[in-house]
Amino acid sequence: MKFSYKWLQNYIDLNISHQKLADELTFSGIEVEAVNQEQYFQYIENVKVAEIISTQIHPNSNNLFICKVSDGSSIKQVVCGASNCDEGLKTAFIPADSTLGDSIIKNAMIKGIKSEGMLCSEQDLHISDNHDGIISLPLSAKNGTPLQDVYESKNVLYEVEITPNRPDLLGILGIARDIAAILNLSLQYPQIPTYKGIDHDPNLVDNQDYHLCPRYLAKVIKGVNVQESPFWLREKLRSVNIKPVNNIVDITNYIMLEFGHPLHAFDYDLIKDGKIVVRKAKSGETFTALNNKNYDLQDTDLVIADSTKPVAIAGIIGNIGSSITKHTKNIVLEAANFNYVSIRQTTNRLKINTDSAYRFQRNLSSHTVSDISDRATELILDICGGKLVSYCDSYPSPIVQKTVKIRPSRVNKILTTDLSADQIINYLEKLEFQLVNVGLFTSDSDNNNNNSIQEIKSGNLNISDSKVNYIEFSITHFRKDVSREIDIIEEIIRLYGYNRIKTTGSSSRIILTDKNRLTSKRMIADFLSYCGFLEVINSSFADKKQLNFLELADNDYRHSYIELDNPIGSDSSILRSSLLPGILQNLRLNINNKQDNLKLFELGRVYYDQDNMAIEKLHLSGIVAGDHRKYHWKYKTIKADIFTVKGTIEKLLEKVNDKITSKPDDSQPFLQKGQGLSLLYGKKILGFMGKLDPLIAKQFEIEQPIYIFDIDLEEILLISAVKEKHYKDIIRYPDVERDISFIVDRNIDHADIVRKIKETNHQLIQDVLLIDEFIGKNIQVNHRSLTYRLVLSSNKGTLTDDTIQKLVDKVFNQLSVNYEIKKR
Amino acid sequence: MEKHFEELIQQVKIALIDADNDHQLNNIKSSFLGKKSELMNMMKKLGSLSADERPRVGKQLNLTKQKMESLIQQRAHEIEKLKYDRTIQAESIDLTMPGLQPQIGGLHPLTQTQRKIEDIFITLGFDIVEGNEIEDEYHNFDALNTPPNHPARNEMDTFYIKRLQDDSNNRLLLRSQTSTVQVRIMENNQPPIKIISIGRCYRNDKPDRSHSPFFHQVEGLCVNDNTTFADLRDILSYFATMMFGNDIEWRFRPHFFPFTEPSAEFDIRCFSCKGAGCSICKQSGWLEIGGAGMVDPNVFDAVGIDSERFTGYAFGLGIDRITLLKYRLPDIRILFENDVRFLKQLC
Repeated sequence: MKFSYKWLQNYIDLNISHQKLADELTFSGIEVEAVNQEQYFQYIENVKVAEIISTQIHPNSNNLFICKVSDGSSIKQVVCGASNCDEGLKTAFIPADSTLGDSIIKNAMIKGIKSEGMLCSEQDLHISDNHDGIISLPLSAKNGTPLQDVYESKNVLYEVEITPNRPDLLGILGIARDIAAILNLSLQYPQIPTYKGIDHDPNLVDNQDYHLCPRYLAKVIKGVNVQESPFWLREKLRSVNIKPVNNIVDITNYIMLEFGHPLHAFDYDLIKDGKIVVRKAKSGETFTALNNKNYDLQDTDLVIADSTKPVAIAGIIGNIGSSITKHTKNIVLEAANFNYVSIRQTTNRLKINTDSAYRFQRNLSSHTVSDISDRATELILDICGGKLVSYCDSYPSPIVQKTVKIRPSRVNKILTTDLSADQIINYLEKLEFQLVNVGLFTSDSDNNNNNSIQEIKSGNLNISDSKVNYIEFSITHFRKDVSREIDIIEEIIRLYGYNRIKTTGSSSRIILTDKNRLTSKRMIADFLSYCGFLEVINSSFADKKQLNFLELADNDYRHSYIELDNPIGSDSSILRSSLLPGILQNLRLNINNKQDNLKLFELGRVYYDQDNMAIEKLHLSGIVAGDHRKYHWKYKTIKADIFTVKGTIEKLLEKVNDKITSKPDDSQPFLQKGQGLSLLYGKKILGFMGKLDPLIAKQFEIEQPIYIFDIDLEEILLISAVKEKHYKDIIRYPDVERDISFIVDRNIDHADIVRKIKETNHQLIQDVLLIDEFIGKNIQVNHRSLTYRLVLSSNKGTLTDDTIQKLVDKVFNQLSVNYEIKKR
Repeated sequence: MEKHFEELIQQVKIALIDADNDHQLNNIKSSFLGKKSELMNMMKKLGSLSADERPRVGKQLNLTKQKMESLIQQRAHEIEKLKYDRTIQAESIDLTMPGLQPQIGGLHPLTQTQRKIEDIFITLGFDIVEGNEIEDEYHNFDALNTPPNHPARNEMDTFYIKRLQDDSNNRLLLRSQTSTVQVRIMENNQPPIKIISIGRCYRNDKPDRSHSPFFHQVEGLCVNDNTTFADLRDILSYFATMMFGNDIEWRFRPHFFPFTEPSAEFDIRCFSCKGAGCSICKQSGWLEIGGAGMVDPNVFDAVGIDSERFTGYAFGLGIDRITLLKYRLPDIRILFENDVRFLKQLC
C-alpha cells in the first residue's frame, strides 16, 4: 500500500518528521517498508507555465502545429506535435537556450518554421511516464510561474505493509485515522453528500446471489463529459504512482485510494437492456478483460452482466466492451461488496492482479458502499458534469453493529498497565468505536447500572473516580477484525505502545553467564573424551609429601600451597596446587589393577597463596601411559609417546584458538630433559606437556613411561572467548603436491624449516607436511635427511608445471640461504 | 558357400568355449576377424565376384561378421562377470572379527549429572555463575543469617584455612554450602536475578559410604518483584520431572535453614521401591534431594536488596546424592577413587 504525505495531510494536520511518522506507524502495527522522496526537480527547473494563445496547422505537415505561447513576459512561437495543443491551454514551456536534464533546447527550424522552445509532456520532464500530449495545467496557474511552484513542491511516498486483518488501512483515510489515534490528532473526514428525490429503479439491478454479493449499489448518471482529469486529480494519482486515464476512471480510482474500497463505472449505453445482473458465470463463458486477455469462466465465478453477457468479473476486472471512453455519455456507477473467499478463488485461478481484487479479497465492509458511491457521484457531477438519474441499492441484510464489553481490570492484567477507564475510552473513540454503556461495580451485583452512560455524558459522573466494571463499545463497521474483548485489548496496546510495557524480568534479567566459557569447557572435556581420555575427579585435599616429589623450585607458585587449620589427616592437610599428584595416584591404582592404555584427565580447581590472597584457578591436567592405540588383530599397535600426546593437545588447542603454539622447554623440573614443551599464546605460557622424569615417576611407584600435560584453563577460556570464525574464500582450483628432500644439520629445528619454506610464498604454499625423517646410512653424523610435502594451489588458476618448478627452486634457494643443506 | 559361413560361426563358438580371459579373447578376435582372417580374405575377394553375386555374398559376409562379433562380445561380458565373481570371492572375509574401534573415553558420572542439571536450568532461563570455594565467615555464615554461636561454625563441622594474613575477625574457610554464591551475586546485582551455581563444598565429615569431606551442590536463586513459593514449587517440580522422569512423585517437607523462611526439604519418591520401603530409602519410601525456601528478609537486608519490594526463592541440591541415586551407587567414595573399570561402566 502506497500513500503520499501530501495526500495524508488532507485528513490530518501533520507536523512531524518523516522518520518520526515512519516510526510511529511501524510501532503501531503498520510496518513502513520505504519512504521515498520523489526526484524530478532537476528536469523542471527551467520550465515555466505558458498559455497557448493561438494554434494553427503547420503548412508543411498535417501532424504539426504552430503555437504562439505567452510565457508571461513575451510571446514565443513553438512548433508542437501534440494533439492537445489547443488555444487557451496552460502548459509547460521550456524556452530555447535552456537545459533540460543533460541536453540543451535550441532555437530550431522545424520543416521550415522557426520554433523558440518546447512544449512538454510529463514524460519529457520525468514527472511521470504520461506522454499523451503536452501537460495541461490548471487555468489558475500564472504565465511565467516556474513549474516547480505549480507541481507539489515535494512528494514523499510511503510504502507500508498492511496485515491481512486490516482492510480498512487499504485506503489513505484509514491510515490517517490510525495516525490520528496514535498522535491524538483530529481527523478531517471528507464530506459525504446525500442525494434525495432520485428515482429508485428496482429494475436496474438484478442481484441473483446475495451470498457472493451482499450489497450492490448502482447509480445512473447521464450526460457526462469524459475527458482528461483536472490537474489536481491527476497530481493526486501521480503522487501514488497511479496512471491517469480519464476523469471518470480517475475518480473511481481516487475514491478507492481514499476509502480502500474499489468502485467501477460502466458505459451505460453499452449495457444491453440497461440492466445490471449479478450472477454466477456460466460454465464455458469467456470474457475479454480490459487488459486484453481472454479468460475462461467457471460457474463458481461471480460476474456482473447485462442481459446477454458478463461485463465484469465481479470485483476483479471489467470487460473491454463496456469501459468508459471519450465517447461515453451515460454511465452506471457501481459500488458493491463481494464475498472475499470467492474473489480470492477466482483471482488465484485466473491469475489476475488488480488493485480492486487485492482489496476485495480482504473482506471489506458493506456499510462503506453508500459513502463511496455518494462521494464519487459528487466528484463526477462536479468534474464531468451530467445528472444523477436513478439508483438501485440491493442490500438485503444490512450489517448489525456489534458491541463488546471491556473490563479495565482485564486490560491492565494482560498488558501490565495501569490504565483508567477514561484513558481506555479515549483510545477507543479515536478508532471510531462508540461508547454505548459503562457498567459500574455496585453493592448489589444484580443491579446493572445502565444509566451511567447518561450520567457520564451529562457530567454528573466522573468515571475515573468510579469503580468501573466494564465499558461497552459498539464496534465500527469497517473493523471486522475486532469482535472480542481481547481484540480491543490489542488495539489499546497498539496505541499505547508496545515498547512502553516494562519487561518483568521473569525471563529477561541481568546476564551473568559467560556462555562461551561454558561451551568451551564442555568442548574441551568432550574432545578429550573422544580422544580416549577418561575424566577423573579427585579430592581438593592433598599430601604435602607428594607435592614435594615434583621437586618444584622454592619460588614456584605450586609451592605456595594453602594449608588447613583443621585437616582430617596429615596426608590431606593442604589444598592441591597441582592436579598432577592426584592423577598420578589414579594411574598407580589402575596400573596395580592391571589396567593398560590409560588416558586420564581432570578438569578441576587448584589453590595457592599469591601475595597472601587465596587464588582458585581451573586447571586441565592429563596423563597417558601404555598404548596410544590398542592391540588389534589387523592393525599395528601404536605406543604412546611424546608425539601422540603432543598431537592430541595441539589439535585440542587449535580448536580453542589457532594462535596457540608449543615450543621445547626444559623449565618444568619434573619433566625428563629434552622431552618437555611449553604451550604459548604470544609470550604467555599457558601450560606444558612432556614426559615425566622416570625418577620422579618412581617416587609415585610407577615404572613405565608416562606423558603428562597441565594447562591453565582460565587462560584458555579467556582466549577462546575472543575467537570467532569468519568465512574465507575457498581456493577453487585443485591442490598440487611436490615432495622435496634434503640433508641438514640435526640442530636445525623442523618448526624453523617449515617457517622458512612458508615465507617463500604465502599465497601459493598452503601447507608443508613433514613426511619422513631419516638418520643413518649415508648421512653424516649430527645430520638428518628430511622430506617435506609442499601442498600448493592458487586462487587465480590451476598451477602450471613451470610455476611449480620455479616455486620449488625458490624454496631450495631460500633454504640454502639460511642453512647448509644438501639436496637428495 | 553358405555352409562355409555356418562353419566359420561354429568354429568361433567352439573357440570361445575355452576362452576365459581377455588375452584369449583377443587372440580369437584377431584370428577370426583380423586382417589375415579367412573372413577378411573373403571380403577382399568380393570385388572379383560378378555383379549378380556380389550383393548377395556381401550381405552374407556382413551378417557372418556381425554374428561373430556379437558372439565374441557376449563372451567378453561373461568373462567380465567371471572376473567380478572371482574378486568378490577373493575378498570374502570373516565379518564376525572385530572392527577397528576408536578408543574413546568419557566423562565422570558427576560431570554427566552436572551437565544434565545445567541443561535443565538453562532451559528455564537460569544463568550459570561460578563462585569461590575459599570463602570468609561473613559470606558463609553471617550474611546467610547464621547466628554467631551456631554449631555449623564449629571446627568440627567446617574447615578453616591457616591464616594468610590477619583475618581474626573474618576467618577464611572452605564454604560449607554453595549459598555463599547467593550473597556474592546479590551484593553486586539488583533483581531481577535468576541464577544457578554449581560447585564444590566442604564439611569436616569422616569419609564413609554416604559422606565425603567434599561434595558438590547446585545452588539456585531467583529474585524478582513477584517471585512466590508457587514458583519455587513449579521450578523444582519441573526439575524432578526432567531429572527423574515424567511420573516422579515429589513433596516438600517443612524444615529449617537460617537463610530461608519458610524452608523445606525436597523429597522424591523412591524409584527403587516406589514407596513401599527399601534399603535405598531407608524404608521411608522417599529420597531427600535437597533443601529450598523463600530467601529470608535478613539475607536481603544484609546484601542491600529491598526486602519489602522483592521476594525470592533459593534451593540447593546435592549432585553427588543425585548421582548416587541415579546410578544406584552403593558408596559415595567410589566416585573419587577413579578406578577406570568403574568410570568406563558409567560413561
